[in-house]
Amino acid sequence: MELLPLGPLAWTVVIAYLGSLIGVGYIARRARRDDTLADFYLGGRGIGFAVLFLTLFATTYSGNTFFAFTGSIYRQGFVFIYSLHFMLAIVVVYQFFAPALKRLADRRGYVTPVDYLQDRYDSRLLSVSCALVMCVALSNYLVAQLMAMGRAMEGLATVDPAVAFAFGVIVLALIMVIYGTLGGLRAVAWTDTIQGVLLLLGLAALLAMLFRQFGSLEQATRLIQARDAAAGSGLAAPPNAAQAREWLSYVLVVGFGAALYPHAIQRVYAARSMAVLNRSIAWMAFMPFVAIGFIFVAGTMGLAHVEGLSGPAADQVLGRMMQEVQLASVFGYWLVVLLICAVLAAMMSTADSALLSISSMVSKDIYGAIVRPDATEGQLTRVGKLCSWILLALLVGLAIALREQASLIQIIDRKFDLLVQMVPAFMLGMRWKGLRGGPTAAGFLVGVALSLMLAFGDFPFVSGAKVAGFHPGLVALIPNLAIAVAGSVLLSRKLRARADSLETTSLYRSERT
Amino acid sequence: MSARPIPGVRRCRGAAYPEVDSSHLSVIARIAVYFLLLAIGIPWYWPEDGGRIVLGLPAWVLAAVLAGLAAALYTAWCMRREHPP
Repeated sequence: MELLPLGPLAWTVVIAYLGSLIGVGYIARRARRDDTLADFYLGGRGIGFAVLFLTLFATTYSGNTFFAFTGSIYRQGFVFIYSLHFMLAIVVVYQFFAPALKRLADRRGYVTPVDYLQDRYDSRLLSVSCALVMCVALSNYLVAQLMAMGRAMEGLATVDPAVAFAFGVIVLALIMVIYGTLGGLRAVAWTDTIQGVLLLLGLAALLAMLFRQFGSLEQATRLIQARDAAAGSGLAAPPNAAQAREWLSYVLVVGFGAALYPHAIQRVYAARSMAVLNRSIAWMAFMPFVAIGFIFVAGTMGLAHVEGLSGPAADQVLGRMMQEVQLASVFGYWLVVLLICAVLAAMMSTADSALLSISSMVSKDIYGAIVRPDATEGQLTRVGKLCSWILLALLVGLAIALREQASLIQIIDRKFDLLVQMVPAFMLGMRWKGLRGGPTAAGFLVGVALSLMLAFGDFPFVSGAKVAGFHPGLVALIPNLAIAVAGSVLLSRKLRARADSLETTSLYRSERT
Repeated sequence: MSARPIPGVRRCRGAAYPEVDSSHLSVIARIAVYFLLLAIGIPWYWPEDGGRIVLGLPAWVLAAVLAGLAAALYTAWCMRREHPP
């Protein structure tokens, strides 16, 4: 985030705002009803429409999304409108499994996504392997958020960038783990609500300022088209065949992968009722037009009016424009300060959701299921809190160590390829009773191994970590599905044949006697 | 491998299968509608020199946005019809 360094008064506002989040955590702690896992990790299954809708919004759109996506428009041009489709695809996928999962969760008392898997398939191999893959995918997501927080602080402070980065990561992580530990999901959802509202209002105001500063959208588009016609960069052109395949691949991989984010599934469980969940999903279908709409307009303005950024530096384009708004007027300056508060807090909140979800899976699905099955819910909650602190300390260290390794983060960023392998277990199993645990686990493990091999291996048919423009996770999903379905059908036939033969034998015996 | 009970989950083997509201046919029909909208939404059919601007954006971008809007409206309608409050 490349902004003007903040003055003392602006710093006071930022610190006061971030500090107040701890106050929200304290209020959320006082609102708890009992010492159970459901109360801590699911807000007592009592999250209402407004909070659920805004927490889903703030979880789906991290503060980092706004900077990274505007950077992508700067690099790829208008074709990045596919981000609208893939963000919408997440909501589309929700409708096929979230209501049924919610109904089951209420009836059976699920707290983590793995509870459903264990209850449905009764396969410890499937449950533990899915828990591990979800923890790895979320840890990766968490490190990315921590690094984004550090980069934001680098851009705001006047001290040595490395010091600002480390200081930012440590202090912001500390604030978020404190309020997360105090109030659990209730605290995270409440802070999400504040940030969601602040972010939406701030972005609307910033958009108005950008129009005033840079002129109309049409002017920007004409400028890009003229430059494209002269240089042949293809930034204004519709997608070619390869880009169209990639577009389809992103819609599928993000739609299925992000819908299976463990913290998103836990928000489904946390809804107060089915009606609340359904309304939230229906409203969420329109949020890509608001969030991506802003990002697309801002990115287009940046592409037209900001020059000289390339590669990863393109992610600074929104920061550059905010800098111009900051310089233009006192109102612009304070508007950017407000947005910085909202963006930092949104990053923290996204990270905290992931942290809370990992801690719930470690405490309940690994510690509670394998190490101490006799532990009480109070004990498991305490283990989860301790796990949050330990895990965050490790990931903060990793984020600081990876500061100069932006490319390394891109390499390990394979979370959707991994999460998408759970599609048969969660989505097919929701509609087909014949799907069995053993073949589903085998398919899942093959899918995970194959997607990692394709992503990291050196194959002539893999280009830019994609197979003919498709993500490795989608390619690996084909054998995964085939193994799960064929294995389940064969197993069912075998079991039926055995049952028939037992029946025949017992009939024969009863006739003889 | 026999599974130990998960704390907090009231286990009842074989019962963890949801009663889904919609038939398989209606789900397949819904998926087909989304793929149709996606086929329209990805402007692979647009001519390369399509430089016409509508509402400040290239016309092909607007086509992608409108297909997305149709998908969002359809989703909201499905949520209301399939899962009434």
